[in-house]
Amino acid sequence: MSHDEIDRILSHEEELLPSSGFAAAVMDAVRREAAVPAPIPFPWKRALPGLVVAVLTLGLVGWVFVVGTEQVARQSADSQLSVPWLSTLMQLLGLGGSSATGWTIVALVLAVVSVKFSLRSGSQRV
Amino acid sequence: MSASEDQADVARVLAGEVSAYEGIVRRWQGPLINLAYRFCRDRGRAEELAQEAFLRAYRALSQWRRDAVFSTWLFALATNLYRSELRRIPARTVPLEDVEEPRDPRAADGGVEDDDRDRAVRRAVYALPAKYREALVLFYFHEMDVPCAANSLGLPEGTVKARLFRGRQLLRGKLPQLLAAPRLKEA
Repeated sequence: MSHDEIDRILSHEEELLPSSGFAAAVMDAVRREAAVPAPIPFPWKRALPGLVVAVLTLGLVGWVFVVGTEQVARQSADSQLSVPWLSTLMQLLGLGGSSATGWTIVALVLAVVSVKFSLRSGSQRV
Repeated sequence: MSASEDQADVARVLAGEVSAYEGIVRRWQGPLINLAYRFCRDRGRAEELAQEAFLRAYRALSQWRRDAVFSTWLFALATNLYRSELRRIPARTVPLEDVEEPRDPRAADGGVEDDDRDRAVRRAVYALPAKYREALVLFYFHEMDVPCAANSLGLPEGTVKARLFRGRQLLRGKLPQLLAAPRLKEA
């Protein structure tokens, strides 16, 4: 008994025959699959410069953020935020006001540039 | 079934001759449907699963490495699909605790009702936890060949052997009287 009996019972399973149209149905599905054009590969060559610029920009923003945070920490509570290039930019734009205005402008410019860049990349033929 | 026929058909399909795939489908439709049926016990669903397996095999044909026999690769792919599909939508099975032995496994004349007993054992197999059930299904599908079952399941042979042992132990625990009944009809 035991193993032998289980083996005997489970070895004898009724065999199903495929229905008459099975192979034809599979081949129809395969032909449909074959007719679908191959997926367009991702345009790495075109995207790579943009990706590199994006990474560099992110790095730069991170660095500016870290430097700015350190400066803020060092300055007294009532002193002005003085990231040198930001102060210059604000003076050039005629905005001598708060540091928040400067940062907002930088963020807006970055957003506009990235949107413009992605629209331009997207509109070009692959 | 010839491995060289499979190899030739695969080469033709990869060269762009889609109709050559029909040879593969015709050679392997029976085994793939039967394997699916052993997983789900539903003929209609078995054919759907087998069709999906053939489609996936067609898509992945270029990934078949010639170091394994085509059928081994095909069974492994199909088994993987059937297992994941049955986890997603399980077959209707009875919990192992609810599987009952036939009330009187011996007929009035002292003989054993083989059909009842066989059905009860199969029901008990389908009520086993998936890992034991799958090992048993594959083992008997591959005519008790552990390496083949292990290949299809993508598991080491030792693991499959351990699951077979445990699966049979659970079956014997659930159906002790049934499996202990002497087969008087054959005597």
